[in-house]
Amino acid sequence: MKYLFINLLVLSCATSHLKTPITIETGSCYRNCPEYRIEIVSNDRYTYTDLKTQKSTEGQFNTDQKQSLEELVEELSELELESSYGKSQARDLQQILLKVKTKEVQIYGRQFAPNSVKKFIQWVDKLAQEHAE
Amino acid sequence: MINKTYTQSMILLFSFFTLLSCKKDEFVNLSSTISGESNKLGTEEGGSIIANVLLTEELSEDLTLQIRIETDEINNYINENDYDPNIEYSNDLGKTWKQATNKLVVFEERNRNLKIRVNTHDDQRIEFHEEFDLLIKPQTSGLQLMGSIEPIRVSVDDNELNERENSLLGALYEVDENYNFTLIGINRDNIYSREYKAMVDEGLDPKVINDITNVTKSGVVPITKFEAIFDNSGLGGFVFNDSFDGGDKWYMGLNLLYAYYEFNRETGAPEPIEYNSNGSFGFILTHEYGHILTLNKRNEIDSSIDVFQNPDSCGELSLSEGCFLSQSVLNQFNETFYESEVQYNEPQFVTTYAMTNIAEDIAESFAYQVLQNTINPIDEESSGALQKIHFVANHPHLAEFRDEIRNVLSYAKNSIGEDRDQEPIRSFNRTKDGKRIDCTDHHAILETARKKQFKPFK
Repeated sequence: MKYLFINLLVLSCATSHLKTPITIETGSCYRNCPEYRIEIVSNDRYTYTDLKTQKSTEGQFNTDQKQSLEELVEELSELELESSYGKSQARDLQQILLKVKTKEVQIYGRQFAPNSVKKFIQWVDKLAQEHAE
Repeated sequence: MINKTYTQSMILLFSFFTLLSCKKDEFVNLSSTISGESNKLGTEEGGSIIANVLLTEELSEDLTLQIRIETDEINNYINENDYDPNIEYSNDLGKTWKQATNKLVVFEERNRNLKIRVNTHDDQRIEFHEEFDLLIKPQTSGLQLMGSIEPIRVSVDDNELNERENSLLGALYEVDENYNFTLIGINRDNIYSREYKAMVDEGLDPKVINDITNVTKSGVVPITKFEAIFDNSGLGGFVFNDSFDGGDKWYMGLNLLYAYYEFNRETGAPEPIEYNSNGSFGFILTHEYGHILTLNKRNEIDSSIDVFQNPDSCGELSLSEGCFLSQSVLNQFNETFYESEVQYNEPQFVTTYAMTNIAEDIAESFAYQVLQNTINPIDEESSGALQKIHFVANHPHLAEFRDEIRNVLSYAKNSIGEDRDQEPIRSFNRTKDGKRIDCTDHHAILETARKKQFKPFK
C-alpha cells in the first residue's frame, strides 16, 4: 500500500512539468493590440484580466489545453531565458512581460523572442481571444 | 499406320497452338484495390516529388488516372511558375518516364506500382514555403476498382537566403538611396491570407510604395528598411533605428491591413476598402515618420554624449535614443509641456495613445498637425492638445511637413476620420448647461468664455 502510494505520487509529479505561477502581460501598441494579463496559477486554472477594462475572470483549462500547455512550458523550460529580448528602442511595438515563477522576461516586440517563447505567447493570445469574444 | 501417324500429328499440332495461345495472354482481371502510398510529400525548390500509386492486384487492362494540382484552399499556395506543368509517370519503378497527356497518366496492365512525378523550379526569388494538393482520380470505366487515393499535400520549401527570418512579422524590404524596394526576408510562418502572399510574390502595390517613398523622403532622414506586415494583431506600425554605428538607419514596419481594410465598429471584422480611402494607413505612416523626424541622430541627438556609459552627462532630455540637443524638437517639447509649470486646459493629449510617453505624444501631435484639415488658432483657453499641435506647426524642424506630406499622401484629407482607433480626445474641460463642449469647436469655446458661461468639468 505504501509503495502504491509512492508510485502514484511519482506518476502524478511526472505528468506535470508546470512551474507555476506563470504570468504574461501584454502592453499597448500602436494602434489596437489586445492588452491583458493571464496568470496561470496551476496546471488547470488561470486568471484572465482585460487591462483596458480591468475586468478579471477565472478559467479552467480543458484536457487539450492542459496537454498543449505542458508541452509549451516544457519547451520553454529547456531554454535559458534571458531577462529581455527585442529592441528596447523600437517605438509602437507591443511590450510583453513574461514571468515564470520568479524569473522576469521583458520582450520588446514579440518577433524578437525565441521560437519557444513566441509559440507560448501565441498560445496565450488565443486563450485571451476566447475571453475577449 | 498412316492414320495413326496422322492422328498423332494432329494432336501435336493442336497442343502446339494451345500452348501458343496460352503464352500470348490468358490473364484477365478487371478488379483491384487502389491506394496512394502517402498523403504528404515534400521537396526543396528545384527538386521533384514522386507519388506512388499502388494496386493490390495487377489488372489486365490499362488504367487511366487524371492528375490535378489544386491550391484553392491553401494560403501558401504554389505559384504556377514554380513547378513544371508537364507531369511525368513511370510504370517500371522509375527507370523510364513518360509525359502525361492532357493531365492523364496510364497505369499499365500487369503492373502494381505507378510513380507520378512533379518537378519544381529553382528560382532566385525569396518566397514562402509553398504547398499544393496533388489529386489523383482513376477513370474506372470497365473496371471494378475499390479504394481511393487521398489528396496528397505537397510542400515545396524555398531555398533562398532569408534575412532575419526569425525576427520578422511580415516581409522585409531593403530600401536603397533611390528608394528601390528589394525583398530580402520573410516570415514564412505567418501568411495571413492569399492576398498577402500575392502581394509579396508580385511586389508591393505601387500606391503603397509611392506613399511611403513620398512621405519618408519629405525630410532629410530616409528609411533604409521597410517591413510590410499584414495581420489582424492590432499593430499599426513601428520604427526603430537599426544603425550600429551611431548613424541613422531607420527601419519602419507598417501593417498594410489598414491600407486595404476598415474594421467594422460592431464586430471588429476587417472589411475591404479602396487603398487608404479612410486615411488610416496614411495616418499611421505619418505618425511613424513623426518618430523618425523627432528621434533621428542627424538633427536631434547629441552624438558626443553617451548616456548609456554616463547617464549624468546629459543636461537635456534623455531617452533610450540618447541625449537630445537643446534645440531638438523633443527637448523643447519636454520643456514646454512636461517641465513647464504652465497648466494647460484639458485635454492635454490629442489621443489616449499620446499619453503613453513623450515620444508618442509628439508623434501623435505631429500626425494631427499634418493631417487635421483645419487647425484652430490658440489663446489662453485653448487645450494642451491644441497647444501641442501649434508647437509642431511652429517648430523649425517640423513646420514644413504639413504641406509637404498633405501634397503627396493619398487621401490625406480623410485621415482624421471617425475611425474609433484614432478618435481624438474632443471634450473640452469646461461645461456649458451641464454639457462638455467639443474642444475642436473654437468658436463655441470663445463665445462661451466671453459670456462667462463656462463651469469647470468635474
